[in-house]
Amino acid sequence: MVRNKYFYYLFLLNATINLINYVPRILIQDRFDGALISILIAIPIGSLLLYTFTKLIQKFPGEGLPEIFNSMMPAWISGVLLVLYGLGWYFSSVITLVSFVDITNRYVSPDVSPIIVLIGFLVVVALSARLDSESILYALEMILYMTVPIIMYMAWRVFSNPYYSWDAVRQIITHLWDIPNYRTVAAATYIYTGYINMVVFNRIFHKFRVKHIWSIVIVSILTLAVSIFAPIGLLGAAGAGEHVYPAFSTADSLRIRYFIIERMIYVFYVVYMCLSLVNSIVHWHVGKELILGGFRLKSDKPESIRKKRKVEWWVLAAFCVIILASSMAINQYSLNDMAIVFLDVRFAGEFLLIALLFYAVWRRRRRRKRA
Amino acid sequence: MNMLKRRLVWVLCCSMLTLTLSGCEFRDIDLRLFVVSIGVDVSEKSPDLYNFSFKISIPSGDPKTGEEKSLLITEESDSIAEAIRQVKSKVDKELDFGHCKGVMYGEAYARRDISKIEDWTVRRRDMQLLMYPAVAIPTAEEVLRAEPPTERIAGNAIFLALSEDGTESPFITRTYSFDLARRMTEVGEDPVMPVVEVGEKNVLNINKVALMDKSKVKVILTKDETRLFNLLDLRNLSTNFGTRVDGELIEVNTDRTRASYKIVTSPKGQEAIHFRVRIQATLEEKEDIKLLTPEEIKKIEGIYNKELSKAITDVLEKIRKTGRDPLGFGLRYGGTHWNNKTEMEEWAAIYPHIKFNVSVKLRIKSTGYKQ
Amino acid sequence: MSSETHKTHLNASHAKQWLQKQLHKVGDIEERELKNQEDHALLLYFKSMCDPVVVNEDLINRFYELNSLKIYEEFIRSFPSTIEPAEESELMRNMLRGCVVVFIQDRVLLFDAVLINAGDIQPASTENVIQGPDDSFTENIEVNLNLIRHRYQTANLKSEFMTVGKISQTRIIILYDVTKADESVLEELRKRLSELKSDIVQSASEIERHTMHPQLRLFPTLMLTERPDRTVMNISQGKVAVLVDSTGYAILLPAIFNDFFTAMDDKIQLPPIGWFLKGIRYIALFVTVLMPSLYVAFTSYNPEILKMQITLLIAGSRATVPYPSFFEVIFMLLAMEFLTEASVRLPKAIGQTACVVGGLILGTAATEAGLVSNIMIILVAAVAVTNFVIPINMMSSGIRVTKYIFILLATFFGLVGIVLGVVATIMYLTSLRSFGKPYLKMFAVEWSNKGDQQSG
Repeated sequence: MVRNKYFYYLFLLNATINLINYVPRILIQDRFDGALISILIAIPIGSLLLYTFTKLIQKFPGEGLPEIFNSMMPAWISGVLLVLYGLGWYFSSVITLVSFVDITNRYVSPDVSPIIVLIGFLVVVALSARLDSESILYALEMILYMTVPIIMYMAWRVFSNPYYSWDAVRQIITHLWDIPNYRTVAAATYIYTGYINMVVFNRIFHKFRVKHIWSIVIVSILTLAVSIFAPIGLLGAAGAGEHVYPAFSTADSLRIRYFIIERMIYVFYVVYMCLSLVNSIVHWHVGKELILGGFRLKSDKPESIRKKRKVEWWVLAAFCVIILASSMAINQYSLNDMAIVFLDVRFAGEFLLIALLFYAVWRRRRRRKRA
Repeated sequence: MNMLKRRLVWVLCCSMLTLTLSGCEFRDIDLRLFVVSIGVDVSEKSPDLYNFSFKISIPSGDPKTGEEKSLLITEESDSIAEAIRQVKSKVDKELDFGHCKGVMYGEAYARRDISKIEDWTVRRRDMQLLMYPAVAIPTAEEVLRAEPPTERIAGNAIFLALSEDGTESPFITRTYSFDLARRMTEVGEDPVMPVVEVGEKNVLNINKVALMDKSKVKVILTKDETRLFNLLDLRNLSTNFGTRVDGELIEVNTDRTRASYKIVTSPKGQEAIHFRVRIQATLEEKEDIKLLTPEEIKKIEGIYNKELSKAITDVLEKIRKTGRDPLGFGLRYGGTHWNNKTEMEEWAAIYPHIKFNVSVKLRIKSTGYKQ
Repeated sequence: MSSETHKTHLNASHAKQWLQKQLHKVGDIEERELKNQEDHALLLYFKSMCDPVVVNEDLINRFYELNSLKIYEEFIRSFPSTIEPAEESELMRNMLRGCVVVFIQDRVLLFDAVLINAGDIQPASTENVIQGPDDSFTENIEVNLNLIRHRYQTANLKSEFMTVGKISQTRIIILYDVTKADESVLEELRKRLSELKSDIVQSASEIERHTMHPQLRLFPTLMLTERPDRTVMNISQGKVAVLVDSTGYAILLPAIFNDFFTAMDDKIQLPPIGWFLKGIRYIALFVTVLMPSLYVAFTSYNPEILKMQITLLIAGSRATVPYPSFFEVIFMLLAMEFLTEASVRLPKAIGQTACVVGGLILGTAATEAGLVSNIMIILVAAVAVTNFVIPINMMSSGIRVTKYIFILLATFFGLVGIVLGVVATIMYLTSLRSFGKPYLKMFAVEWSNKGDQQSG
């Protein structure tokens, strides 16, 4: 049983990882076409989704999505839904890992073949995703406490930089009244998506309650502001669009004067590599549990545990193979398209999930009345 | 136990696989040559050929002797990638651009078009965005060849001067390659670069700024104009200003400076930029041996305010006449106007006849240890 | 002394019942019923706390020599330290101190027979402190129990006796404070100890090895200590101690990662200094694990990360070294390991010489000859020193091995490998459980129960 603070960590993890998952790039691509208004729209939508979800999941203490769906629906519908949700959630980590391997190859080790780096990542992620949910949350907490202060320091360094151009930010702000579009709203709401991890982690929460939702809203606004304005201020209102990884180029523009490392980008790289790994571990864990739940594998008897463990290996192996294949098949443009497709589909999927949970609450209430 | 053994075997297999695949493809630090700066010049032979100079630092075995060696290789070629290939066949070790911190554009080249090389430095993965770009007079090769006697590490003198680490000269305009790249693409802000000259006895002289028309040098300001430009561009410039009161020389040293401006667009046809410069200064030098009274200090301040306002207005007008906008007035105009489609055209019409109202407020905070 | 006071006397049968309730599950309690034809008396005492010679001579032998119970009582009262307790708590307090309770008819008397084991107790040798108690456990389990009872005088301290080892029949004692210890931990411990199958158990670490899962691991999940004060502190925090006969060490459980970075000094020093010392140890942990691998990564894969000056310095000092960096690191670290091992086995006087010869002369000569770089020597020295900062030997040995894994990762992947290793290590450590308690966790120490010293 874990305490409620771990929910905030799950949210924070997704909020910080947006820099890798192409969110800044999509926002900056549309900076003259309604990115800002999209962000303003995304903030209430994302917060509302998060809030509704937490209210709904509270009705099912100690239950994960597989348990909820399997008790509400015919086996094949819940199976299909769970496998689809599991795959969707796993897909997010595909983007994180593949783009991070690309980044590694670009910035840190051009000497090592990307496949080798990817294999290294996969070994750590696959072995760790098998651990129990509680251990994963403890590790997540640990890594967040190590990295978030550094992220805050870097954000402060960006905005206090004498070369930071506030006029460029103002120029973007004057583009506020453009027409928003679905793609940018979907990308901006990614910040809030961390709550979805609760579909599995809810099993180990003890009396799950979310207080101080305003703190989540404030953190998300700050995160979005950093995601879009940090690159614009340093790389220029026009220039920010030229970079493949705006966040990394921004970090490369920071210089640490009094340290043995001079370029901030390496600090940034290490921090985000830790976060990407943990993010992938969490997503694989959730994806794996959803898929296993889709096959109705339970872990109550020793016999079924052994069977579940066996299937678990196959699921993880499949995960690895998909990533290896996709990293070989796609280039930087298709990866970007993939990220956009993922973000769009995910946004719609969240609404569906909330709707399904509403249905589940309704069903359960009716059943209780009948009983 | 069994599980653990199996896991261990798996990890071992993976690492063996990695080992065989990668075969440890790395190059040790002592097998690399670090290029510390690059120079680009126009070749005399043909307009399509360029002279690329690479300054390579050779580490010495004993750091205590302070002896530094460097190697300068100049290669004639039509593209920099080709030049690097040629240099590689001239040296025994692998070239590493990870520590390349300076890019010198020879004056003749800089007056033509720097965008090709600038793009290369931003695009290439191992090039930092924290490089110091500068215009070299007479040629980049000669600037790189100069080795000032105070230099302890090859090429370091120029970086110390161009960064905030070393000297604090008011004549040096500091810029990084991310700043240059930003200004080259930004609408309404034009790039600037410091000018490095080789003086006598291998001394590097950096006291001018080159104003650029996006990708080529348009005009080089004089030393005094450069100081005033820096006063307007930066905060807390520490410099001195001299004047004559009743024929006697007075010098003040600035502690704090701050310049801010506002663009006033009405009435139409009489648009003006109101510049406010606040300076806090200390009296440093005076010929008159009489002790100063507060009234006299007031008088001195009055004289300074008048003279500096005049000088700054002259500089601003000179800059305006070149048609360039290194202080980013255009971007500010764009950032404060919401008619995004037409604002830059409006600005282009306004800028040539805009007026500058400069008000300088210099306050002598102290007169040093003496009255 | 105060034989004829007007205090209300304790009711003997009530007191007896009360005591028996209190001393439930205390294994080292001794109950002697003395009987002759008509009289009978009862002695009740802690075996570990009372001197058996005194008890035999003055209490048991006298009973049979003096033929009247009246005279026997007078004889006991004649000792100046004998007390007639007025209430039950006083009875218990003195008993825990080392008094024998004598029940004579309806009278309850306390006879002082304190056993102080000062002679054969050695100062602690592997867990040194600067200003603190110097005692360490002996190889006699009774003496050890005595040392703990002296420091923890409450009847809540329960002791359960067991034997393990089919052939060795080693006696062990499970010690815990019944009001604080977690019953599930105790259940688990009893189960694991009874499942212990090895023939011979000679040391505490064997029990450690055989009872914990998984068996193959680098980091200890049980604490071995030779200090009674650490044991007492841990018991007071609700942990369980296991004393093993014929070994100078006690096992403390459950033990979490943070405990291995706590020295008893932290409690002796002022709190801010204690925090500082703890901070130092964690920094040392990172330095000793990561420094060698970072050196490999920076020299072989990512020389662009460090500042230019440092890079050129390393490049310059490595100019004469004829082999790749990871070989250089492994070579020097192994030399250091050999030195450490050699100085452990050698007699103390020679050990010092070995260190000087090996460390100073070999190091200097190797750099002079150009076999290793200067920076490498600094690094190896830093790694060795920081490794010994970690106070508990089992942990520091585990970390000694861990750094080679990191060097291997750095050799294959460079900086990426090190970060992978850090994340994997954190994942691995958080997945460990020591008797159901998470091994590595942020804020594992509950700050809410103030006043109590939290970790140990």
